[in-house]
Amino acid sequence: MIIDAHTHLPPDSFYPPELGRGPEGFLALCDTHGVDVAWVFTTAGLNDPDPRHNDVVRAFCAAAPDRLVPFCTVFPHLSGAVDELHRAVEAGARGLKLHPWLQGFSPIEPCMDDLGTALEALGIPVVFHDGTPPNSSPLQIAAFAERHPGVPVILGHGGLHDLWVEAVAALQRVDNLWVIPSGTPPAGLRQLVDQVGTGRLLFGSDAGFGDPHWQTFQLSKIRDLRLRPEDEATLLSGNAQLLMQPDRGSR
Amino acid sequence: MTDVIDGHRHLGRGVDTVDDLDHLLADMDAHGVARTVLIPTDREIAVDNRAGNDAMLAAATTHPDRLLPMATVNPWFGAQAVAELRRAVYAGAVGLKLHPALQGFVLCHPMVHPLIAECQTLGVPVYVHTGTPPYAQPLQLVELARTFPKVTFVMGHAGSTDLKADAIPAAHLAANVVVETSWSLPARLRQLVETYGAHRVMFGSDAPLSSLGLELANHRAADLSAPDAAEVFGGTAQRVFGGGASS
Repeated sequence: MIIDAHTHLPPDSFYPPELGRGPEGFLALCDTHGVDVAWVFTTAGLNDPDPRHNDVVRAFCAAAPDRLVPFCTVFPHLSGAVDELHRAVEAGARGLKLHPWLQGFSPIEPCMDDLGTALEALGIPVVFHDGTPPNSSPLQIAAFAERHPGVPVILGHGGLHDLWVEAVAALQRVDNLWVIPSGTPPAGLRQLVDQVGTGRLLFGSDAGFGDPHWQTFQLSKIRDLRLRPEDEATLLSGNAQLLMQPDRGSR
Repeated sequence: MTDVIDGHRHLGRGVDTVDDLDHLLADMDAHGVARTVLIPTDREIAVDNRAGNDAMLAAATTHPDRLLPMATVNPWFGAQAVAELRRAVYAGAVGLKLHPALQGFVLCHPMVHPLIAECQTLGVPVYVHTGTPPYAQPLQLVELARTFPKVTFVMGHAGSTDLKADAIPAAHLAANVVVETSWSLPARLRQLVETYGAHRVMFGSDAPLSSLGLELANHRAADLSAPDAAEVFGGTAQRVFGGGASS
């Protein structure tokens, strides 16, 4: 069982010619890598606050509701952000994706307070893009998590190349912080596992965002760790399943 | 596969990574890499330049046909840095590596110019880590390359990841810049080859922070044409670093 907890709604240019388009093509790609379930985020909607992008993701995922898990996004600076979160979740979104760098906010600005409270009440996780200064550092996101201890807060890239050391520190500091180490260098990932364990690690590839090879590469990174089978299973699917259980409670 | 040259790999003990010569050579053998450009690690890049340069030179002496030593000096050492660069190149170093984020300077600041002028005199290329704002940006490298058009510059990691977009327009701003491709996935590598031309693109692993095996797998999945692959996996590095008999 593999859950890819970080994929983006692919533009048509993403698909290899031998695959179909739309959800069928995306699932065919997942099948080639043994990926059973994907959390799906918008791509265009990170640059454009039109709430219809959330509906597009939901419709895409409706093609295979047991395999494609829709996430929504909102622009925290806009006055209707919390309302849009509620609307999208009532319509079927299972989590929130935020990209502070593209969407132009800091994770600890005042406008984030109401969103955090709403997430806690809804009981859904939030995935942040991270690793890109000035607005997406792991410790900024960890500070948001500390303010909202009931919300599972997920670093979407594990600090990328430059800030993975900061991601390790943030994970050691804050219990409700989780991580998809999709941008952590291989040697950094080894240290992340050694220092934090696999209990808050999720597999995620960033597939859909540019290159169909992402899943191949990211799975190779995980398998090169040569984890015990039970730890690898926790990382590849167990933790993501846990976060999707409505009664999981807070850690 | 042609004679693969790894254009960028660190040797030694860093704060987060470690690699020794025996492992490095075994890793090269396991993945069919003929030659590797050696770079010092972490504190040797930041402050202990001479120790790092001597370690690279000594390692290369053991396998001169397979290992190409790069020197690094921190521009903050001023005239002392220029002297150390000259010493290392006379001892066999094939170029200068700069890491503006780790060494703490703005890449296009005039304080760097004496070092680049020395590289021009010595006839060696300058490899620069890029991709870590605010100090290691592709367009800062372009600015430096335009100031020294006779020097060949290598854009390390091609701006990955934060500034990878900037590496594309940079191709047309300075013809004396080539890119090193560690951290590239297949579509990105194809984009760099299309933009720069394969003769301005070189493979690098950035091991041991990255993994030679994973990087080669990513690069080979790009399915480059045979002539392009020959450039990326060896030809470009051969010309830039001048290692080997045919240079």
